[in-house]
Amino acid sequence: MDWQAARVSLLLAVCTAALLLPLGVWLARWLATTPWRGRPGVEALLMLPLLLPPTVVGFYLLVTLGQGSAIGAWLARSINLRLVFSFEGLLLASVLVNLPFMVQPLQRAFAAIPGSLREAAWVCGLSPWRAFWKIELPLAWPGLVAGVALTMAHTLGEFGVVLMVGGSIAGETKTLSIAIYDRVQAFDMAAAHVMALALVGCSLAALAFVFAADKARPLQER
Amino acid sequence: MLEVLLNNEGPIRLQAEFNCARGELLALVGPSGSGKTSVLRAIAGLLKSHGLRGRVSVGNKAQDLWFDSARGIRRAPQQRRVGLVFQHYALFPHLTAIENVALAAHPPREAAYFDALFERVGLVGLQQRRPSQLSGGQQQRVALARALAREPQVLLLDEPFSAVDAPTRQTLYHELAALRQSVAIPMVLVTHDLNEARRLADRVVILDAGESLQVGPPARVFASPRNARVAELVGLQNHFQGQFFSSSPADAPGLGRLVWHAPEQGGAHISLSVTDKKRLDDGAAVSWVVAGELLDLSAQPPVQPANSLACTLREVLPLGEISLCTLVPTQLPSQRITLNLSTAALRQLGAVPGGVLYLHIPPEAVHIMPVRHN
Amino acid sequence: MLNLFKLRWMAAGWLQVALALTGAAQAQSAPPPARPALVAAAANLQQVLAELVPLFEREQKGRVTLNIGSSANLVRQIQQGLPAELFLSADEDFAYRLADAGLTLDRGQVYATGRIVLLVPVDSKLTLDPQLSGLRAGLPQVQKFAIANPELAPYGKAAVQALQKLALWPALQGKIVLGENIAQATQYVSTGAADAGITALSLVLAPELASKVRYVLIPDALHAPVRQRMVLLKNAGPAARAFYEFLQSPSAKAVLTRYGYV
Repeated sequence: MDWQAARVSLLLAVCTAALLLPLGVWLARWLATTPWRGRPGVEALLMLPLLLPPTVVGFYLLVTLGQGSAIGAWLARSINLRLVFSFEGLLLASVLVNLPFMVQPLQRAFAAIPGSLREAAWVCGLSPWRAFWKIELPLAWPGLVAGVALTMAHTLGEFGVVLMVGGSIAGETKTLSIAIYDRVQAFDMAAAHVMALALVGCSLAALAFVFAADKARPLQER
Repeated sequence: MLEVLLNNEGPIRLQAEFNCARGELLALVGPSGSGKTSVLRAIAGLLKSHGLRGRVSVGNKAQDLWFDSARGIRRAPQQRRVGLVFQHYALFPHLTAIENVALAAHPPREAAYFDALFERVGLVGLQQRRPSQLSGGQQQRVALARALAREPQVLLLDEPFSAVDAPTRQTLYHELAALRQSVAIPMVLVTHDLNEARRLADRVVILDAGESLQVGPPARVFASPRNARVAELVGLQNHFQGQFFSSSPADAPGLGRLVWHAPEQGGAHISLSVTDKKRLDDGAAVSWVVAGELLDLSAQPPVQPANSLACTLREVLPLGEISLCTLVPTQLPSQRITLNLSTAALRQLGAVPGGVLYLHIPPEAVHIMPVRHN
Repeated sequence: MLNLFKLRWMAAGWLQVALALTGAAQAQSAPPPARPALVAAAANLQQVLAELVPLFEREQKGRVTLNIGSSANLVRQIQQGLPAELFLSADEDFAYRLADAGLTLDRGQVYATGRIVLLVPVDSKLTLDPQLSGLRAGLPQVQKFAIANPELAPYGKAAVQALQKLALWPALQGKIVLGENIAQATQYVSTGAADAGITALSLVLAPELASKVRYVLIPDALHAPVRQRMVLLKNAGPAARAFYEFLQSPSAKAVLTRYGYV
């Protein structure tokens, strides 16, 4: 078991979920509550990472943010930030690829809240912000749990993007899935087995969370 | 005093104007889609429409002006001290009854305040229950308590009794009446149930397609609709055509003549004496209605033949205490008069379908409306 | 008021991102002390480095992290910003490519010359001999033949040269399975996915493979010599330099010879 790789994977999963949570909540709520003609377009765009091969995402990130690109060079010069072959670059790729996993369950959860509840909160004197915190979020929490669980599980299993923009740097970009690939190439099947099983376990745990959250229905009559 | 003037072009047409005094209960009545809920939402500040014009105010102070399109004032719902009871209660399912109510209290109150409030709406002992653990009527009361906790300047009720079963509804009517004794604010109630409006409201506003057609006490509006459309909306069935003639020397003073005719029967007609209110031109084409409660029915031919018609009892539909009777005037067989008679009275008349009865129409029972010429 | 609400949200979300990035930038500009040297090494060195690195870390005061891959892939990554400090190529051309791009300190040193072998799964029916006549005879039974991608791995290029010299290339061309690097190609044969293949001698000397494969050395006259050159990159730290020197030391050379390098 490559504990360093496990740590990198876990850190990546947690950071991705943490960054995506506020972004996902904002996007999901906007999509669920704002009637706008361009909405289907945004929804399709968000779905894109689900369908695109991860190598495509990795490729475009390399081309636009790598050392050879204008943005990459500028970032390296001005704030000494490298966005390929670094943990931060991996984080950015991970956030992009996991958008649909965070947004979709959240959007469903927010859409399930009747508009009259929001209005009732306003009429009770709650500002939109307070109404969100006290009424909408508590009612949407299963979507939150599902979104976080799916995002973390999906990040743990990411391979294509990590391979392309990560560089397999031990302790920084060598995730568990890369470590498995690496161990297999080094003819070390035993280690590969252990790590693969660990990932399977994590995926199952995540699914358990998602199902449990799905069963909890704060809006329905019990 | 609540003053409402609303004008909206948008997808939801509105053209309503009415007032509601403190302690008064005003019912907005109309068929589905007539804009009643939209009016209520506009008062609460929930109607999203950029083209909304008009004025909503609840008093004379500056903060009582909730909406004034001319001055660009449009307060958010949070800034209007309004109590709104939603049609399906809109209780927050994850909070207990008392938490639901406490959310609306600004400034935050002590437990004693809520205990008193719960007692006032008849919900003692149910504070800790979730909405899913309460019956429909109880949820309605929590919604009411929540609206009152806001200490509103106006109480708005959106078809509050439509989702409640009949026995509970009766109880709630009593309680609403009792509530009005203790809370002296304008109350606006939306309903499509005419009987409910007649029973609960001091005044009604008849709405049709977003337009307020008539405002007044229920008795007056139902008995004296302003025009044919209002008559239709308030469910008046005895609606006929005719021609009005002003008071002439041949008539008794203050009385004119109404000629009831049916177009498809050529010249056949019935002549009735009616009150001349000096509002109509001589010979004007009119439509008219009769209030069933002022009509007299007897089995014997009348002593005074004036304003009395011989009718055949065409159909009787027993509905328990009341029977729905359809009468056909002998002189105008194409017309129908519908009456709600108590089944007991019907039995006392000894009337059977096909039998003849004599209907007396007092002049004051006839309400005449001008016909609009397009 | 709704706009303010949305604004607050956006601010909260992107503040987090900004913080994360600036934090990261700061972390990158101040490297933590005793950071291991990042060494990019061609895949054929996998087994020998597994011995050399611990030896180095025991003897010297430095730590090394390895990034294994095909020479071509490593060069591309370094050009795109991989912060490697030392590049151990499987040939000379790839090392020169980095030098010509101005990314290295100098043009480096040859540290080893490699040999290729024909290998088959241990239970294969094919007989093995240096001129590969056994392979020629058993061609009909060979469905898949694994080599490293010649465009990415110099050992793959050498394999193709040898097969062409022996006039076996036309017959095998349709049965070729390409590994992304030499280790992957070896893996195809050791797991039985391919019936035979050509790989680096150093890899088949690994103890894990002893029971899984049989092999025969291919004469180096059949291909251009696989001279392996290493270069220090411009950002090489002290540990990387020390490792560079170590690889030229007698103790390292002894290990390399044991793994079939000359």
